[in-house]
Amino acid sequence: MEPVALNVVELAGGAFCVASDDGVKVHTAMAEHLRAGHPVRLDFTGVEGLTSAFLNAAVGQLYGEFTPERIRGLLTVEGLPDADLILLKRVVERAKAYFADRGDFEDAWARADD
Amino acid sequence: MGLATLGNFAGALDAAGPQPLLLDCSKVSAISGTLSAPLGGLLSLALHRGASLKEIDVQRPVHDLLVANGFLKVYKAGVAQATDDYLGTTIGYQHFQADHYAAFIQHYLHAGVVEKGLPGLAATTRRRFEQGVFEVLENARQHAGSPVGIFCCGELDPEGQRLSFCVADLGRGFGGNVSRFLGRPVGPVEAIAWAMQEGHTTKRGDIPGGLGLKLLLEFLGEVDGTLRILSNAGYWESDRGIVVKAELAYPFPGTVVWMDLSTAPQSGVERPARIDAGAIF
Repeated sequence: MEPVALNVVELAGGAFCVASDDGVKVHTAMAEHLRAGHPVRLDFTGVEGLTSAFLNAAVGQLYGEFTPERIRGLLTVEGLPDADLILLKRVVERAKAYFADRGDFEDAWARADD
Repeated sequence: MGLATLGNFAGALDAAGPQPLLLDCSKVSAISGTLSAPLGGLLSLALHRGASLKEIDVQRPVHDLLVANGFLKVYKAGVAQATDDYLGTTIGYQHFQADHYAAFIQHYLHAGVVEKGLPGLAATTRRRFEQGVFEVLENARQHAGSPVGIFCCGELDPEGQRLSFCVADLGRGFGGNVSRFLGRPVGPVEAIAWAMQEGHTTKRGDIPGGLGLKLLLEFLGEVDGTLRILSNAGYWESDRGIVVKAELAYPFPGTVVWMDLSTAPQSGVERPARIDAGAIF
């Protein structure tokens, strides 16, 4: 099946993809296709600014609904320079840990105190 | 005047209350232009609470600096506009409401800070600096609830090849947010230290967090940089990997994030690792 192409700049409403709220818009569009089992190609071409906050909302929260295997099988990205790919990789790693240990995070400080 | 004294100034403004203010800065002989951000925030908060600014008495060379970066245009009657930056050290003073990102990013951060302050650095390094500032701004927008918006300023040191840049908000501060999240009182210093750890975020729900400040700290570590955070009475600093923490006698009613980095052309380690886009997920 040919992937559905989603343009991040269009979905976020601009080239500066920094706000979490704008990331949610991308997530909403992407998750709908993933739920239906459609492969998605997320195109970051034209993005001039990116934050972990935006990517957490757009991509990171996918890991709360879909397994890493399903995301890996259906989602591809393009148009990201190396610096932003590294950022996306960090966000994905963080999201996997977040959803794997969600209950443990609130105890993190208490453990650090011990 | 430095970061640690901002709390004293905040306390004095608070004690003065809603009345016409005469700010006597005539004995201030030197100031970092970067401090304009938290100073502007404090003055704006005082005005928001009903005070008025009758006069600011400030002498040269501090006067010239604060005219050049646009600070006095906002707060001193008779100063119509910023002057030419004849020393080439000025990064403009900027105040904006938290939701008004677009104009700030396009007209100020990119052209006024990065293009001017970091011209010799690699594109990746410049992009990562912008990323770091965006992370701080987004944190402020999401968590601070500043009633008077967000304040930025910076300064260049061409001889020392340094750029300092500061983001200030007059919101809740780290202590309140972290205490609320953990459900127990957390001191102002401990709150910053907690937030600086990767994976620690006060956000709940389906959107992960806890990465932005860690990324900024990592970046600054690669460009011979320093990160200073003042939030309420908490002070936290990482200078080339050495962390200093202190509890101040007088709290700042918000948060100041101060970055200082090398602008030398060789600064900025281009990360050698390449990420395969197919191996991200």
